[in-house]
Amino acid sequence: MFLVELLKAVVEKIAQLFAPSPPAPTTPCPAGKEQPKIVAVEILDGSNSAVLTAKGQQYVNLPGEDKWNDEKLKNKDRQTQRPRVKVRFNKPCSESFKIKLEPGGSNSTYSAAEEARNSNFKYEKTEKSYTTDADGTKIITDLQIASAGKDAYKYSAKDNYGNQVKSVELETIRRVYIQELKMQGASAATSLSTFINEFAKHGIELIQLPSKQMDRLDNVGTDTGPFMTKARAAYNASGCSARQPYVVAIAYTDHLAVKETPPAITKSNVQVGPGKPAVTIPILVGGQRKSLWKNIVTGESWFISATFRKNGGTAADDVNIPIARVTPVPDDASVPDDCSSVSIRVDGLTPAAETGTITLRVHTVNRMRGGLSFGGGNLICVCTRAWWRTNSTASQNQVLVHEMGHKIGMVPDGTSLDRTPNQYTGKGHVGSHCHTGLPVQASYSSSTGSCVMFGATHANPAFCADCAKAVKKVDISAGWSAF
Amino acid sequence: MKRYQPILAAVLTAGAVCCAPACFRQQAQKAPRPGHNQQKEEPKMMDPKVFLEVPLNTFERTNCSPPEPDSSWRGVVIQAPRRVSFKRGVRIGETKAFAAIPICGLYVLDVPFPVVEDVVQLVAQDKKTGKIYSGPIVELDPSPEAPHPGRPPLRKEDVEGMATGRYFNPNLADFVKLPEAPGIYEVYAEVRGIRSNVVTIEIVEGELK
Repeated sequence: MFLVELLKAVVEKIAQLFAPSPPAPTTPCPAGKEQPKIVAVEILDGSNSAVLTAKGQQYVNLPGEDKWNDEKLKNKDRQTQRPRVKVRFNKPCSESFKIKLEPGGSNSTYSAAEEARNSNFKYEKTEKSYTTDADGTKIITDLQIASAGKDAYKYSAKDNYGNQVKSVELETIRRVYIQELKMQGASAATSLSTFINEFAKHGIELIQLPSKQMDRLDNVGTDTGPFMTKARAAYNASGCSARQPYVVAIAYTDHLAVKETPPAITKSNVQVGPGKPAVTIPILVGGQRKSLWKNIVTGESWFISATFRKNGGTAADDVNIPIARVTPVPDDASVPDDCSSVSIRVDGLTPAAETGTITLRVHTVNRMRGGLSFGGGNLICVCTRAWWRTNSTASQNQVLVHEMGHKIGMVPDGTSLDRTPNQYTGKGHVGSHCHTGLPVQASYSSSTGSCVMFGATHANPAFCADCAKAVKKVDISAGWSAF
Repeated sequence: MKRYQPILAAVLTAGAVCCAPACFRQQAQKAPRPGHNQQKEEPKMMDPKVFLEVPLNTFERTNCSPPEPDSSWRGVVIQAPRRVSFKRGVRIGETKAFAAIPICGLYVLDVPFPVVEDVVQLVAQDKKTGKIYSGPIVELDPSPEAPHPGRPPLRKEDVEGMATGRYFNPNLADFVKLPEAPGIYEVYAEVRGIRSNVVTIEIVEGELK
């Protein structure tokens, strides 16, 4: 019996613990006396009594947890799309009132289709009614503002007697943490100010975490496995996982070159033998000039073989041309490794003068990338050298803006935000990009657009006007999973 | 990872691979001459498993590539598995293709002046309906390309007497919008109007027996 009683008591206790809290007590205001008057609508700032006294910032992508607080973001009231608002009357009794959000005149606007795709794009447009608690105050937690950055809102509340009050202004902002992973020996950007400032213009605050060094790889080609392993090791050691899912890792690499070994390149009607001048052969692959695979990866040679066969000869007549006779010719003397032709010394190659065909087999650079795209996950890769030339801090920042743009959902194609006017996919570039500055074309592979979201790297690190609107509007509250 | 390779292997090893390949024998085959390219090729013995190793949508020599021809040869030549399979709903690679259909080829052509960038066009004709599907091979790497800062122009005498080419290993389904259905296709590649040999590929649904 005792055990049964004990069990009942425990069950009751547990039920009490999980029971919904009772509604706040209300006390109707006494009739006939002076009417209660609304005196303030205030944005709470850290407690039920602390309020914003001047314009504040609301980090709409953060989930409302103390772990995100810091010197600038001082309390969790400054997070989420539902800031806490307190309405006060001059009398400690319960009185009904109405409240509505007043959006700023330059706030982002979402179409009905956009709002239907994502409820975070909505802000509470209707005027809502509430009743104060017995103490004449009411804390409201369900008025949603939109997920966009750089929006402004005020709260306007009125009582039943014509008295109206307004809050101070809230400006929306989104926050993302940046974890740099600097590859040993790679010339990482010395400043991210262009990158950070570009996103700040559109309501995304990028917070740099202390950088971490990662092991070196001479090159990252199509096999990205070794690179990912090294990047992940540095990422895990950085301690930035505490900032997940709002951290984006930036890994700086050396060359991002893709190797191509084409069929033999041949040049016919070549004269060789005593006194004959050197023969220059441009490296052409598929109708494109290519650079030799020279000093990309330690220990990997650009040279495979070269032979000469006299006209009418057979394989038995082939004369081997050693690498010592084949000299890469740089396009630019100041960049000696970037060579798109070779000069073959044929003087004395054969005892007597001969005419025939030189067959050359080489490794070439198919292409170089300015960064690597990894689709989902929180990794961006920036190349610090391309074509044997160090990428400037400015160009690395341009790539960063572009790749971060993709991370936040640029360029919209209509699946979340509505498609922007100059969005394109394919047409020479993989992924969703923007051709602002160019007319509609079948292919953009040989063109250069003016928006940072154009499909190839160029000088401009800024979003075009249409993309800028979209950057303000994106919802990044879900963050990114770790790569 | 090589692009697509794990996916291709997964798709094909699940019993869904090619049978006897419509291709050339690696070691003994002499590359066809230009005038002979459009003939239909007799299937030769080639281990179909080599197609599992093809890094799709790359431009490199693979175990499935046609043997490199003599330096005087000009033309386009391809090899492919005779049968591939697909599973409804399964999507592969950047373009979410419905199947992995490796075409391994190479071409070598005289260099024209002015030099123009070659485009490899893939053509597949449904044997039953006669309907023709085609599309060019384009780069599918989603990573942004860093353009070369510029090279000195070539003169006519620089390229006179030159011949060059490329290997190519596209997934046919990435570049040619074939219907997601079983069928038998005659497939060839074309570069600068020069056609390759024709290979026959049967696409079957489900696992191959």
